Amino acid sequence: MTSVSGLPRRIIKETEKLLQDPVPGISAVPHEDNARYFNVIIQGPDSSPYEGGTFKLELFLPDDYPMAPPKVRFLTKIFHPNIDRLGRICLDILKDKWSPALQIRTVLLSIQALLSAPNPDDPLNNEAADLWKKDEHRAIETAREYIRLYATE
Amino acid sequence: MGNQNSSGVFSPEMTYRIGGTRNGSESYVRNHNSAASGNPIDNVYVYESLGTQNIPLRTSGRMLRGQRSLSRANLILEGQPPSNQQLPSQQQPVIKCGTKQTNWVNLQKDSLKLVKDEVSNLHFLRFTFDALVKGTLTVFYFAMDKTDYENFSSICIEPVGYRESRTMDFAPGTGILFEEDTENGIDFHIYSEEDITYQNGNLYPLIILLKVDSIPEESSLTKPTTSTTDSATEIAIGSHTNSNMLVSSQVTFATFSKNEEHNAAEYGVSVIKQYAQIGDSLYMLEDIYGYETTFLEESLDDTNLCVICMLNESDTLLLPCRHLCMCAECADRLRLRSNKCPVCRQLVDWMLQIQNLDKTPTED
Repeated sequence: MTSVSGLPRRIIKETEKLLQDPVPGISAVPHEDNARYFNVIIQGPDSSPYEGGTFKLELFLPDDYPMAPPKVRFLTKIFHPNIDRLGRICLDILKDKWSPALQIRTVLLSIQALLSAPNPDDPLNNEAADLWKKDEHRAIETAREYIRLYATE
Repeated sequence: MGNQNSSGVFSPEMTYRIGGTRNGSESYVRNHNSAASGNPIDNVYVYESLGTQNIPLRTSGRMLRGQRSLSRANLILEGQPPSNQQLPSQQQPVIKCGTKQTNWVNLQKDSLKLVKDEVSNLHFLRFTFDALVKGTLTVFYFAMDKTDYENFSSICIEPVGYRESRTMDFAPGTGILFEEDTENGIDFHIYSEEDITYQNGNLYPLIILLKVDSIPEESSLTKPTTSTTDSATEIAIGSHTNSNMLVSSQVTFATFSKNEEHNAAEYGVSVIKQYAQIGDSLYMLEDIYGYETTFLEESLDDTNLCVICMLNESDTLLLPCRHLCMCAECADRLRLRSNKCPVCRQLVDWMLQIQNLDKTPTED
């Protein structure tokens, strides 16, 4: 199960695959000092409120991964109904809907999809969610403003 | 959930079938020997296919066990679900070990087709099957399933008489093609849609029976250690063993279908269910998800690896969802913290280990 380095073979394999065959619009690079800690960059999906944005995230694989889900957080400030000010993400597969068949890759794809489809009915950021429901146009404008301020290279 | 099916007497309707696999060639089989034990589900079998082909079993012959050397030929995996008392679904799933035995004849479920002759407008039945020994094949168009499932002794099919049934002999082989003769084309125009489509009950538009002649005896006809098969089956098998014969056969129940497309009717045929009879036991053949990639394809990618460790081959079947997606080691770890299938999230009642057949089963 475990390699010489103490890192489970699964994590090594996932990392190799992420580096060799990255998901379009997503990069995940393990930290030099900690192979369980990944620096992640997700490009805002085209035709979404987050188009053109470059979002940094951190992803950590706990000891009992994959039995337990990875911990993921946005480092870049983002105006999104399902992502709070601390960058925490409201996504079921990161919580009770986690399955050990899921992977880093699928988790990041789900987060990318969450950017394409904000869900104000299951809010984590109430301010964003309220605005989304009240005035979606203004909400998207605010999201774009955040990108100009925080998520532009 | 599977354990809801575990009461009363076996009836075909109470077993479940989720659907096909990639090529439909992986199956496990539920044994229904309800009469003696009162428990309709005695064993579960998994059978391997011959190359890309299924092996349905419908034969009069004898049962062999543990012949792994036949490898991709026709092996059946047998295991036994935990007793009902162990089975409220909220508990930790139990891992059981399976044993294997030979499967002698199999209709490849996905090969069943109707071929239309554009000139005559007749449809011709076509399918392929595998057989390790010679036997006979009977195609019944419109027939009754007269099998007594409560006091099962053998599969019993009775033609209704709309159409002639035909019987032919076959020699052993894999991928044996059956094609209807030119004079046996079906003119669907003379039947109503109701006639050609399975409605309910025991009248089927199409039943295909494969029977194998006597099967060579295998001395090591021992029951798996994990199995406490009901005594009636034991006795039956024992008596047959003494006479060097076991009855074995496979029956495929199918229906025709009619689809209106572009003002023209398209006719098709599909399998409703398949049963295998071995000795006095009757088994329902069911598909396994992920079986083929694990056992029949080269490991070109990770599709056959355990989804959890991504290191070992998947060898543990989850039931009732029939996903083969984990190795025994990870299954044993997972069941301590989750009772859900990693692939479909369905509750897992129990797990059946396909490899390491000699290992002692892990039980609580």
